[in-house]
Amino acid sequence: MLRNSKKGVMTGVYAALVVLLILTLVFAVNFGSVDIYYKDVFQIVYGKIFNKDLSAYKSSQINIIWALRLPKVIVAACTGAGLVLTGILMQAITKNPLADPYVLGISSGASAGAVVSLLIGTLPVIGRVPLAESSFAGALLTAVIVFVFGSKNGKINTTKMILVGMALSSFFSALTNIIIFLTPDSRRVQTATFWLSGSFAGTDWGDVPLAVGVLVVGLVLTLPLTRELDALLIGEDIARNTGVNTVRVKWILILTSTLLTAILVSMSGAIGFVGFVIPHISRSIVGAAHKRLIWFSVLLGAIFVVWADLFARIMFSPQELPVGVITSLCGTPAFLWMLRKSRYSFSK
Amino acid sequence: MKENEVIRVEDLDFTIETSKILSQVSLSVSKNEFVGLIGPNGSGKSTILKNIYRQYSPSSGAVYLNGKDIYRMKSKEVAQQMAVVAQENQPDFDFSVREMVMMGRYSRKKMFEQDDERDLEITEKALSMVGMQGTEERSFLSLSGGEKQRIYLAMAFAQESSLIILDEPTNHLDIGYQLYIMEIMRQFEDKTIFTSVHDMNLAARYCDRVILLQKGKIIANGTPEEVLTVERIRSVFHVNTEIEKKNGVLNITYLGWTK
Repeated sequence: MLRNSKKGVMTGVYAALVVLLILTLVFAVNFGSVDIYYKDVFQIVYGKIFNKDLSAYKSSQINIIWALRLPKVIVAACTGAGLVLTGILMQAITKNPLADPYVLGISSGASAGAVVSLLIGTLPVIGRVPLAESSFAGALLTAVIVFVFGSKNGKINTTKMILVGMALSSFFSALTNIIIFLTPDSRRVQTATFWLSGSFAGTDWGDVPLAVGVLVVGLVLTLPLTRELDALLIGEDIARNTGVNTVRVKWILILTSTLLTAILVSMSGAIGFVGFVIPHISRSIVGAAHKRLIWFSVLLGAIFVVWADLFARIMFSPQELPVGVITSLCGTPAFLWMLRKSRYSFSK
Repeated sequence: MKENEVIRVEDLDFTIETSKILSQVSLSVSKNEFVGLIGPNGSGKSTILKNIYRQYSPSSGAVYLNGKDIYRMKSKEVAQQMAVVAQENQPDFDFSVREMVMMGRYSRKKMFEQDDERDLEITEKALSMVGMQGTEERSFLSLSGGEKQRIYLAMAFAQESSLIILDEPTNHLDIGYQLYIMEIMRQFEDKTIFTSVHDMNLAARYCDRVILLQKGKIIANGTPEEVLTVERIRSVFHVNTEIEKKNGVLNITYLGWTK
C-alpha cells in the first residue's frame, strides 16, 4: 500500500497515527462504567498536572480519571508499543516470521515468578514476595540461562538461543501449572490465571515511569539501527558482508528486547499476539524497511492495545476481562483476513 | 609483502572439531587480477573464501586485506574494500529491489545519514550493470532465482569496493546465467575478482589465474594452461579429458569418469 510512497506521505501517516493515538487515549480515559464529560477529563488532567484547584469536581470523579484510568491507559499504550518493538527486533534477529517477544521464554519465567508471588505468597528467608519483583526475577533468571546456553565466545547463536528459550518455556509452564494445581483456593487461582492472560487491572501510577522509561530506552537504542535491522532481516551473512558488525548489533538488539519484555511482562503479564501480529500487519502496509516499519507499527501497537484494554473493561462491565484475551480474539481474525487479502507473503 | 597484493592468506589452517578442512593454505591475489579457485566438492574452496570474508575464523594463520590483518579491521572498513556475493539466500521477508541494492551502501553511510541522490544514482547504475534497470519498485521475492542473484550482484557493485569475492554464486543457475555473470565480472578492469568456480571451462575462459585445491591443500597455482592438465584433472577429479586450445582459450572435453 505505502511501500513505495514518498517521504512526505509517510510524515502525514505518522502524524495521523499520533492524532489517532491521542484521541484513543482521551476516549479510553473518558469511557468506562462511569461516564464522565470530555471537558471534565481535560480539566482534571490539566488541573492535576499544573496543580490547579479541583474542588469543583467530586473526589470520586478525580479518582477515576486520575488515579484509575489515566495510568492504565498510559501503561497500556507503552506496553503495546514496547511489545511490537520487541516483536520486530526478534523477527529481525531470528529472521523468522514466527518470532514474537516471547520466543526466548522470558515471559514464561516471568509468569512462573508471578505465580510464586500470587499463589505461594511467602518464601522462607525472603518473606512476602511482591508480584512485579518476583516476575521480573523470573524473567531475568530465564534471560541469564538463555544467554549462557545460547552464546559462545561472546557470539550469539540465534537458533540455539531459541531452542533454549523453548525448552525453558516448557519447563516454566510446567512449574506454573504445578503451583496452580497445588493451590486449593480457587479464587486465588482465578486471580493468577487472570494475570497470566495479561491485564492492566492492577496498574497504577507507580508503573508509569518504568513503562515509559523502558519504551524510550528501547526506541533510543534501536532507532539508530534501522539499516542494520534491514540487513539482518535478509540474512546475517548479507549483513556481515555489507559491513554490519553483526556480533555487536545482535547483542544490542537481544539485550534491548529482553529488557523490554522482562519489564513489560512483569508489570502486566504476557499479553499475547500483539508483538507478533502488528509487525506483520504493518509490513503489509508500509513494507519491510525498518525506518518506516518501527514508527508505524509502534504507534499502531499502542493504539491497538489501548482499544483492546478498553474492550476488556467494558464488554462484560463491571466484570473486567484480561486484555490478552481480547488481543488474541480480535487479532487473529484481523490477521487471517490480512493474509488472504494482501499480497503480503512470508515466503514464496 | 608486495605493494599490489589485495589479499594475502598465510598458513591458513581450519579445523572443525577434529577434522582438518584446510591445512597450510597460503595464497595471494593482486590488484585487478581475476582469480578462480577450483577443486572437487569438499576440497575447501568455499571454506577458504569464508575464512577471508570472516564467516569463519581460522584455527591458525592470517588473512590480510590490502596489507591489514582482516581480523583486526572494523566491519565497515572491510566492507568498503571487499564485497561478497555468496550462494543465493532466500529471505522470508520482502523488500523492494531498490531497498535491497541500497543495503550495499551501508558501509558508506553514517548512523543517521539519509540516502541521498548519489546513493540513488549508484543504485540505478548497479542495477543497469546487471541488466535489471527499471525494476527498482518490484518486490524482491517476486523475482526468479537468476534475477535475485543479479540483485545480490548489484548490491555488491553498490558497495563500490575494488575487490569482489564470489562464493559459488552461480551454483544452481543455468549455463546462460553462469556465463552472463562471468562476463559482467570480466568487464571490470579496475576490480579484483576472487571466485570459486565449479566448471573448469568457465575457469579457463575467464580467469587470469586458477588455484587448484585437493583435500584442503593447494596443489597447483598458475595460468589455466599451467594448472589444468590432463594428468592433474585425472588425479584430482577422476575424469578423463581431452584438452585443446581454441581461439586462444583452453577447451576441456570430458571423456568420462575413471578410477
